[in-house]
Amino acid sequence: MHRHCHDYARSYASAGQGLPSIEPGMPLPAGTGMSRRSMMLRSLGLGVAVYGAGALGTTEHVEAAINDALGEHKVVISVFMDGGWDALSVLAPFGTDHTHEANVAALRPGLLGSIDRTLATPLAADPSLSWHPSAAGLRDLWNDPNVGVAVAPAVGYATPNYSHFTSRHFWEVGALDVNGTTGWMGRYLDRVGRPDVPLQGLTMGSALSPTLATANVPVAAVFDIDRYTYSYVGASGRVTDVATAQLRALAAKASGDTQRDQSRMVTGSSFQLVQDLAGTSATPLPTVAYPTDPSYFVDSLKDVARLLATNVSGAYLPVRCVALRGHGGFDTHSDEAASFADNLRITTQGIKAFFADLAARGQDDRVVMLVWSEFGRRPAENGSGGCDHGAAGNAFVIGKTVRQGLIGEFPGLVKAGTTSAGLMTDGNLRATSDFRGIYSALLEQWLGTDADGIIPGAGARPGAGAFARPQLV
Amino acid sequence: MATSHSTTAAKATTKHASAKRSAKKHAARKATKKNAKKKLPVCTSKDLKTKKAKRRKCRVVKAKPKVVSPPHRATPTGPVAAPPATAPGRDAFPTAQTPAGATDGARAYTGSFGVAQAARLLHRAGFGPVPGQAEAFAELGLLGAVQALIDPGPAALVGPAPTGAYLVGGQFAPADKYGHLHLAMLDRQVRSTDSLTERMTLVLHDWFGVGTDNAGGLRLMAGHIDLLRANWRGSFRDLLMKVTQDPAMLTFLNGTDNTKAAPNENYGRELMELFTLGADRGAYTETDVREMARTFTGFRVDYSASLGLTNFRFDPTRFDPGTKTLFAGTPYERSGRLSWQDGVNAVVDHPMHPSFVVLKLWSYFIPTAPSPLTQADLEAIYRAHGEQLEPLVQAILQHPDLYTGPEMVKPPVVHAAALLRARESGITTDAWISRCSAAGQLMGYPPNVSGWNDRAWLNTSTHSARWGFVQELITPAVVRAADYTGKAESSDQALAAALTFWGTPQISADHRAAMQVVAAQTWVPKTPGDQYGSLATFLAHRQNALRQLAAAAPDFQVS
Repeated sequence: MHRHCHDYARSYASAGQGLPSIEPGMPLPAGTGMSRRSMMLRSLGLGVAVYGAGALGTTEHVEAAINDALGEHKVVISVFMDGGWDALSVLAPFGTDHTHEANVAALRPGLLGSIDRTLATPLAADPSLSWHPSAAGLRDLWNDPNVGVAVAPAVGYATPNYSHFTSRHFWEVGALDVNGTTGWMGRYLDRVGRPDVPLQGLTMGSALSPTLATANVPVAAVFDIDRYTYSYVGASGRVTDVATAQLRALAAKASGDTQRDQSRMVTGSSFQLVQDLAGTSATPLPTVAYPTDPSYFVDSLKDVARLLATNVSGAYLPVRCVALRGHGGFDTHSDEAASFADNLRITTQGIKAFFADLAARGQDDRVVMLVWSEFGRRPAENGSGGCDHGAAGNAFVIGKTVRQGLIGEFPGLVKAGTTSAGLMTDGNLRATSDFRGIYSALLEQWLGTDADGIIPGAGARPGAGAFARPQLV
Repeated sequence: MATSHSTTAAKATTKHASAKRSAKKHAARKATKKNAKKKLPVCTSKDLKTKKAKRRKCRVVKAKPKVVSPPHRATPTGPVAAPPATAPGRDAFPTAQTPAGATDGARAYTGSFGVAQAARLLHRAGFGPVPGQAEAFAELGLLGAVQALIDPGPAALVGPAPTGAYLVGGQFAPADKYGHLHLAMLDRQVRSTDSLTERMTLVLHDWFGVGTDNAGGLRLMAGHIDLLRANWRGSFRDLLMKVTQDPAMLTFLNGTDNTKAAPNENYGRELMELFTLGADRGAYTETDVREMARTFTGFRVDYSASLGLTNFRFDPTRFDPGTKTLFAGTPYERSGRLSWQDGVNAVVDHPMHPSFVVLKLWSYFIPTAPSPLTQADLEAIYRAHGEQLEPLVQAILQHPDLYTGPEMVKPPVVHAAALLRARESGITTDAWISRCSAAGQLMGYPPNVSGWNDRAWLNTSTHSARWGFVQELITPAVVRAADYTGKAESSDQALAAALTFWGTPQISADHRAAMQVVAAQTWVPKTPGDQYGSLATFLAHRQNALRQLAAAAPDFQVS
């Protein structure tokens, strides 16, 4: 597999990119730090985990421990559409229901005109919206009786931040907290993960996604699962075995210097990961057709499908959370027509193929995917053939077990000042669902754990939490 | 002695920026009078010891210590005499010694300045030492070492020139070939006698986050880097004026799309959020973003099939001449028919601008936040010196926190350049493009406008790429059984040889202990399972493994 990193410039921004923390008022980047305690725990390993569960004496716990050992986890995959995708083009506000047509034609005549309406299909759940022709991959998944798609047509939060980096950081850490340092999936892994399994949280690429930043357990980033090896030049056998063992022993020691210990921890995780990934090479390549465009995102999906299908001696790999970046960049301040459609097509066709691949491998019932962006773009176009930063955007939850439907309604494009206004005073789209409600629902309904303690402000389950939970599964 | 120098320097640096520069140049000329040849690199201790100074055409730098002090505080009265430089090793960083009466937050480190401290300085402010350079810098003392970085004389390239079939007529082609800007920058990082300029070019590349694919391509991107390199020692205000008009930036953040009829917010927003003021601290509002966009209207560009983007210019007919109001309702509100220059001046004059610059710049050199006192002093230095970065950098490089605080992960290209420098190797392959990319830092391609995530260089993926750096440099010099035929090598000799391979770097005690275990392996003829058919084979394998372990160990990724 030949991958060109030069494809991944600014607009293909890395999901691992956090914020420069030390700048005044800016969020701390979600880190990857592990405590020394977890380093110590690592050496104790699986025996303790199983013994500990067994000692509790319940069948449920023993079963959980066995599933843990077999690695057949429910999986959440986050797909980040980098740059703030133009939600009003993904699901355009026209259809067989003409409610928004006059408003959208006034706000964005150029962008609207760039969509071929003869190829745009109305969304069954809200026929005032239509799938962009290049979002046909998502539309097909919606129409697929074996896959559920939940559509949030205006997701965000009440006090929108128009910075790419701050808004994305909020989504990554799962809180409106500029100082957050752990990701929402990272905190889930800290609750259920193990101190010795970096593969439990996986980013495809060379920068770790901050959504996966943990406080205690290790997580992994891999660029290409088939090429993740450590070899020595001009050396092999006993001396390199001893050298690797010495590196791993050094990695398990604490020095007291935070950054040196971070480096040691990553060294330990890296050698562990080589072991964790053993067996994937024997897993066959996909038999379904993925988009043929050169795309790291598509390559990553193929790798993830293979990882999820890999079974070594009856045990699946221990993957729980995966973070990916959709194809291309969506920060379309200008000339949106030049890039948007292709990026949307490759991303959504890739996702469609991925679910077909999972189904062919018999793994589709344990995967739910969330597709999101840091914000939607401004309803009014800017005259450069694009549009500037906006507020509410759209998100999709996809999976065999996902309950099809809407998460919140489309608020419309009526200007601020009336009770039916879908736009806020600054002309941006008002959110009708909160991303933290979606996270809470995924945690509670899919992963079977309380959102409370992972999503700040989620509130305890059951009962009325701070964020309304959509019924996702 | 140090005191009088400090006072002189403090006086000199309070003057107008250009006067200060010329005064400094004058001082530099005086200090190197005997070695006043042009374009000579600073001698390493190896040069001095082997009396090769003349042959290598380098110049002996005498320490010209000075402490950059904020104008509103007295210079500390006499630093505590530094203990002898004993090269205590990486584990033995002493605590800061505060001179009596010195409450000055921007004071200089006065603890022991040995080889370990010098090596750290060279990794933070440059690209690591060439063999012997840390020892030479230790001899200069802290202030002399920092001065040697700040004022290296005219830059020259020393060491092996690039070689390889990827070159175009023996040269890099940064404006034409993918990845050659990266290679050309890496080459300067490895070879320039002005390491600090190359490091600051990298810092500013990260600061402005311009990336090739959205900046009009390779030619404009290369021009952007040249602009940063040529102007970093001037005022930040002037740099911003130049960056605002830079074709690469005008393309990257849609400056040429921003017109009176259709304002585009991209540059106005990022100028405030990422370049000058910072997000989420109340420095500006969304209204300011829109008003700022209006002040930057008017730039345009033509396109021709043969030249690409060409004829970047300001077109008054596209400019919004109306009244704009920036920072409305604040004491620093600006209103009127503001020009784009007014927009730049407004953000630089903003009272929250110095704190942003100080913290951002500091974060590239020191991983812990400065104390409020240090922060305040550095902000004062910034304003007192006409918004120049150089005096700030000097104060930061002298600061105790750099030497007494935690280590920092070497950024990927710093690590790559440092390994090349340790080997005294030039660029011999374009593999450094893909290798650095895999390690998370391909110059010319920051991930987005906020630059690289400088706090998260290490993960399992980039670790594997860094392992590859070391393989790349071991490969051309790999030792074989033939090299050991008829020879012996003790464990100690094997360890020493592996470290010598990398220029005898400072390594931690834990790292050394790990290497010792490998070095202590011996060949036992006919050991079951052993693959080594001869002593020579075994010794070659052991040596190659030790070389990998020396430079790929976790403790070697930080400095």
